[in-house]
Amino acid sequence: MKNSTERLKVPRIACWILQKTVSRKIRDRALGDFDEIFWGQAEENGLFRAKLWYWGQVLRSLPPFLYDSVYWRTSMLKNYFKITLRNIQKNKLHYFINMIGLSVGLAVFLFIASYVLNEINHDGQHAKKDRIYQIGTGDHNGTPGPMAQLFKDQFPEILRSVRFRYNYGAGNFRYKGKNYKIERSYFVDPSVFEVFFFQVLQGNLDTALDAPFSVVLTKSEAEKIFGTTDPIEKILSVEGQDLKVTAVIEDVPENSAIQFHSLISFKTLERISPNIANNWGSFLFQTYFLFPETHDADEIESRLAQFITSKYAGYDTWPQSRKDQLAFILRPFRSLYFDTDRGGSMLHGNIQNVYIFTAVALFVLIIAIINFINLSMATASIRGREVGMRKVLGSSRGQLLRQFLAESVFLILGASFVAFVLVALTKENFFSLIGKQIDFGYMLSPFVFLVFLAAAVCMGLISGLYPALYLSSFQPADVLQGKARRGSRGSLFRRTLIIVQFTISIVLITGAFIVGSQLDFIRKRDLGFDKNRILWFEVSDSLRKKTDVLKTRLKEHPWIENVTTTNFTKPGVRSMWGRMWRDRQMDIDVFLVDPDYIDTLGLEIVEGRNFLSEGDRSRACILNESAAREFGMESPVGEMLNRQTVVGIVKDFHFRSLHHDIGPLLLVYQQDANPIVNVRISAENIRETIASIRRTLDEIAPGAPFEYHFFDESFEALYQREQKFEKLFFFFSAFAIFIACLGLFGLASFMTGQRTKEIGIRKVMGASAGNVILLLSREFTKWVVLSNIVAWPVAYFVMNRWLENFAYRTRIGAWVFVVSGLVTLIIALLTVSSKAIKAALSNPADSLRYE
Amino acid sequence: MHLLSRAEEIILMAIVNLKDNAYGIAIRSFVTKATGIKWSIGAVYAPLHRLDEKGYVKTIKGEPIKERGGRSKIYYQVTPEGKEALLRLKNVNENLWDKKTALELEKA
Repeated sequence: MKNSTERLKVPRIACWILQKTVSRKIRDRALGDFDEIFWGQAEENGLFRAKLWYWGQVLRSLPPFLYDSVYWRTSMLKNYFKITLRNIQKNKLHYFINMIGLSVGLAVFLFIASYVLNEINHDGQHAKKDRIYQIGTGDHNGTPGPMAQLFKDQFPEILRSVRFRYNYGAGNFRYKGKNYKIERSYFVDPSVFEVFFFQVLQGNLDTALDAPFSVVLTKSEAEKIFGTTDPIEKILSVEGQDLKVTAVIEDVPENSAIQFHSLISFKTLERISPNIANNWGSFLFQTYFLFPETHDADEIESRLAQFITSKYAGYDTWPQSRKDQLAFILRPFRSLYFDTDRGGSMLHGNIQNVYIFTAVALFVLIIAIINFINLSMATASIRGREVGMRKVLGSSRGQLLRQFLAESVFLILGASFVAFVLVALTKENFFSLIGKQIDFGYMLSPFVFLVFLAAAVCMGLISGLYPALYLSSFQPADVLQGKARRGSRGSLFRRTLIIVQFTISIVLITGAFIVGSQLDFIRKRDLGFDKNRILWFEVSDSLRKKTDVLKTRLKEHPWIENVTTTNFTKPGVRSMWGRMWRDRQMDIDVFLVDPDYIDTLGLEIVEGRNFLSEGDRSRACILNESAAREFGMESPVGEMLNRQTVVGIVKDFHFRSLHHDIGPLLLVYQQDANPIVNVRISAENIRETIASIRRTLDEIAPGAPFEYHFFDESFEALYQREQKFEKLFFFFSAFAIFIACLGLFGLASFMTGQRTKEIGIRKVMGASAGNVILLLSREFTKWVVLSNIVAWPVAYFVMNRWLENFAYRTRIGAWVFVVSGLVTLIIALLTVSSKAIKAALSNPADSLRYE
Repeated sequence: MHLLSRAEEIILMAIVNLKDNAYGIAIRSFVTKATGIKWSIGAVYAPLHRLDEKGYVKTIKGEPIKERGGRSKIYYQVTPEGKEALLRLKNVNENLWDKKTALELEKA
């Protein structure tokens, strides 16, 4: 058949392009013209020339065709946009509520997303982060000082090694007669700048840490000390040593596993205490290795182990505890940020928080979308006529669908804009809420912006789909006559949405209550000693030799009840020793204390005696009950632990946070050289007492820094995370309920709108306003009750898991559920009642005249 | 009131001149001859589509034709609104082009 062969001869790809680009209305006509001319050309000039012509013509025609189809498509968009604006003007309150819900939801989502992205992209600045490993043992990240060099000589894969040594107690820098406390200063090898990346601001990092007594400061520390003057070559004195500032670097970002405020050259440590730097017995150094681009960490690790066994003669006969000390493993640097704390480490990321926040972000997004859907549906009674009219005028269902989808995309884009503004306005509050600064710089990159835009459009499509399907399904004949539409009680789908919203809200509220009651439990728990009115401060090395003088001087003070010195800084910092009793080896927490410790803290001796100032010296120790129990001692007093005699047993007390069981504890006698002073003060005249402690310190060691803390506050600080958690929970649950109520309000107005006539008739038949309110509220009450039933087990399960973080925990009482259920119910009823009351009080004559 | 664009005016005039034979290919060859510029098919149809939507032309469907791949020829006719738009444009042109301006331009 001639016709079909002709069709085949038209260049197929060109024809397909045309079909895709030409507007539907003129498509047939234009394609007909193409075919006709093509056929004429083919007869005249042959098929090949005709095909060439066809292609040429398609290419020339594309721009006008494209312009044409885009023009007509957007002209419809323009109309949709206009109608949307008109609707917004007509129903300001409704759209206002909808926009608030959406933009607050999006803002919260943006915040959380930025936080999560920030955490996930930790250590982003270190280009070599995949090649860096930290060496340590199973439960410890400390290594001896000389080890790095030994391994480096032995293993060619180790390109660089860096040692960090926490500059303990020497954070006191002196410049021009003033003292400055710099937290987190480290002795470090000069190779640190070859392995890690830090942005240099002044000086030369290649040589900055080469010489002994050099120090590199971060920007904020340099500004703190030197203000606007040039810090380079300035001399700081630390513990009587003069350090020269050789470079200034940018502050270390929050999301870095390595945190410090100053770096001091390692050679300084070798000069001032060579016995520490070269001691194989002190595991005080964090060591990092840099491997080549391609490396097999497992294989290197096994060779490390072989090397250790071959290095020490008689390794096989060692006790396991000693072997464990040298059982080195390699930890990838990129895993450190979220790793568990091994004591003295610099890391501070928290993967649990990341998970929780991600979940919350999704919750928030779900709630916001549900809200949007419900509120869009609530417009049905308003939009019904428009839909009917458009259908009568020849609009197809597809067109209506597109209209409503376009509308929700418009709204979401608008809400996104508001969300961005909200984020910009409230970011400081958010930072204080999570206790972290986040760099929003990368949010401004065009890529992230495009992704967000695309996400907003997708969200608009998703949340607009159901309302669009529903609204476009109206039959013009029905809606234009004002007949009641189906689903007067809200469809099952929408009821489910509301229930999901409320379930999430109730879970969050219950969570907030449970976190709160656990914190309350912690505050009220008897710790086994009196943590109130104890003040502690750290003394510098020079003062440690004079603690005896300090103690006697302080004790003379009328408002000071007792004074003791110890090496135990504050709860949360641990120092553990291996101790042996008969054949039982155990790792045990150790405090070095003087004889006043027991009395100052108010501990109770249950067996034996306290230390004696005369005669005991460092050979005496006291155990707590747990330690005696775990060693299995029947009569502990008089027993020998390594080379120390147990002189007494102290009653168990919480020396760690309530997350942990009270573990075994060893108190070892140490009269001098303790870095921490604890002072029990009386409840009155606290300010004067502190002032006089300061004066006394100044008399003994002029210029010594005095930075004091309260013991109970240090304990409280252990629960910072939980306190933040409580705040977050309350914040998000309030937010969730707010949004859910917006949705409920929308639905209530929709439903009362649907039942106007019914209410009118009921009133005519003699129903009272109260009856009508009850009728309308009953429905919502049912949903909230149902949400409660769903939410309770979820909340119970989740919060039980959370409570497992604590060794000592409160019970989840039934009141928590009852209260959170009642709270949501009351809030929901208040929301609904405003609409219900209005409907109940309306004049039936008005509602019945509707027809 | 919008004025017709130049392309719309040319196409509309072509339809008027072609009378009963105003379909795509005829319009295209007419305007090509009249302007001395080769019009692509797209360049003809984009203004035609606009004229159609504005209601300045109406269409009459012919019989399906084999050479057009079984598609019908669509003939265009100018509607009264189209005629009015053309006359309005003519008025504008006359206001702009009095004899003096034309002469001056030719001289210069």
